[in-house]
Amino acid sequence: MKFYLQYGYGMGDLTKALLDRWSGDTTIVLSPRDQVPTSLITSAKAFNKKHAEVLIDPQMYSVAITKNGKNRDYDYWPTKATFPTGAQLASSIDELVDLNISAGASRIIIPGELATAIDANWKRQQTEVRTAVDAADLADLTPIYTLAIAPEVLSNKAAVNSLLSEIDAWKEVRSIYLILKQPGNEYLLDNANILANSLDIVAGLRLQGIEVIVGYCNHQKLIMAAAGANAICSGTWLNVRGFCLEKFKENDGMAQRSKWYYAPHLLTEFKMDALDVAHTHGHLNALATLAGYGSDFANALFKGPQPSLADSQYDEPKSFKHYLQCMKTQATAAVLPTFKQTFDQLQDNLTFAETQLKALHRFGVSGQQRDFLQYIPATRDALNSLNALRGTMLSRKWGSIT
Amino acid sequence: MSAWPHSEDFLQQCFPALSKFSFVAQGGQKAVYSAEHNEAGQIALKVLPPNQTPERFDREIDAIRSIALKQVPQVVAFGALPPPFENHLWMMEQWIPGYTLRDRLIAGPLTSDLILKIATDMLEVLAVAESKRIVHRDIKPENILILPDESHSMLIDFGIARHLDRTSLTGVFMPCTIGYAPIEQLNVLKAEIDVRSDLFSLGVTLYECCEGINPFIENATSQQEVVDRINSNSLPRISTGNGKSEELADLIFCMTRTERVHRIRTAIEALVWVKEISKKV
Repeated sequence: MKFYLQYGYGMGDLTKALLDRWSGDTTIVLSPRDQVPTSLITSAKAFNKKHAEVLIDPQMYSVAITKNGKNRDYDYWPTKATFPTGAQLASSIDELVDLNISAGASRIIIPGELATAIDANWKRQQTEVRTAVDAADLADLTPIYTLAIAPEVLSNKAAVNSLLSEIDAWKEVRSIYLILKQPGNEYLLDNANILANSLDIVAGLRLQGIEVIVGYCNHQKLIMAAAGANAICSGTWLNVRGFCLEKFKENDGMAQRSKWYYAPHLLTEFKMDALDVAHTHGHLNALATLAGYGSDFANALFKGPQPSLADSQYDEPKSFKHYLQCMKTQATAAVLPTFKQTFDQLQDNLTFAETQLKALHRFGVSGQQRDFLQYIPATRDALNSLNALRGTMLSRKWGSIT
Repeated sequence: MSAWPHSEDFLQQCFPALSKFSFVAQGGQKAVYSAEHNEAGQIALKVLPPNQTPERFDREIDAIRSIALKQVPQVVAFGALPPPFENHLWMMEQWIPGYTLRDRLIAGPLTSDLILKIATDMLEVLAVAESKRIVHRDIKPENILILPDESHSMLIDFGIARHLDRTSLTGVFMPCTIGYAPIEQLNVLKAEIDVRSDLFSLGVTLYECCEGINPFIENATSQQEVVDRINSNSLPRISTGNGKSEELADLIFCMTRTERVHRIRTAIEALVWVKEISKKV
């Protein structure tokens, strides 16, 4: 499973640094919300030079809400506060084509509105979008269709089945940019039903032969590997690690400035004070990131007399780089040669994290609101549901879908 | 006109090229006779009740002719009875000796060898039908004939077959056999009918071949109970052993998921799979 960078507020230098480290081996999903057009194109060209692919997220999930100050500057953005139709939709796609060409993209993300129901209106809108794309001159850009889904749909099995059934008939759609809105804008999710349905959507699309890029992900979405997802996207602030419409209203992503350290093997982020407590009890090493993850950004925390005293050597950009480096390693390593191996590895990772976190909790070491222990049962249940529902077919088709 | 089924004298008058009529079966849609054709040899003569829609009849013939496989009895001739009975349509088909899978199941579960032969034969038919956009919609043990030497099986009765590119001939009710039809047929979701509907029915049939029972029907006290079972429960996995492999269990499992979006997607995929299983056996 590939790892894409979900571009967000103030990610320019960080992205360049990671691209140098990764020799450009990634895709960056650019965010018009966070950059004016000239700045976005400048960034795209800089990333192209570093051999990275760029995509542009049109962000028309709910035009009335996602219309941020910078979005207004783009020619593709509709003049009305509703998802475009007719000539305006055609014009919007034409402008997006121009923007993508200017940015040096080879694939174009086609906009899509957040689906709160799989009903006749939604189906009509999807048909109109596909018809408009079919009529447009995409100038050799390969279309990736946005499929944005609200929790009302994700929690409703009949709606999920209807969604998959509908997409089955979209023969021209071969690639989907999948946006899964969390209920209540939660960062991590303890709802096994929604997680299971999310996995079922990804697996269903993959078994239909459709490429699936899952946008706005945090480490809980590493389980998408079991469903055969082609890529997950993640970034720095929470508003690019989980899809949240309301956060498009905010001026930037800096509403919550706390510095976190991500322990990838525990699937948990810790604040500096938690690391100090672990240090006090002689368990700091249990939180350290193994060299295999390829991140040395947080090494300073584990070398000094006390983690929080290394604060100046572990700044915010390093915290983000560490998270993203670990996520890239984890995403890439998540897919194994068979479905069973992939599934078992994900389950083993959960079990390991569960055991370790329980032990750490006894010493007062926790990730507080970002502690993964409370999310493990739902995550495990979702994986088991996927296995029961799709495991046989995924096992059989694994070689061709991964 | 004589009573239903028709008398031999009446049939002889209507079909002078035929002789040695013998009544075989009578269903809701037609009466079936065996007869000797002076050129084609033994044939199956199907006579429909009066005022059946000719479109449905035409589609049955089209479906059989477009599939054109050895596992489907071919149409020898068709037409309408002479006046004043011209509102009765008839069809002559190649006669297939043997017995129905339903008859064979009376003796209990089948051997894995025979199950795989039936699965292969039926999936070959469905693969061609799928390519022609035809759905049989009534696969069940009664509609599968097994040759006396058990070398092959045949799919019969395309009377309610649907061509997916043509206008539906059914109204708010969709003809089907409760206990074998999937939920999209039971719930008359016409837009959702495709080869996966037939794969479900065949999967249930194969399950019955393996286990000797159809759990949707077994001990049900009403048709509604059967429908409720199909709506709410997928079939369990077959028990393995006696040549019935885990892979065969997997295949039947994937054919019989309640929701079609969870079933194996094409007949070709299922056919490739069953051939792999057969090779291993």
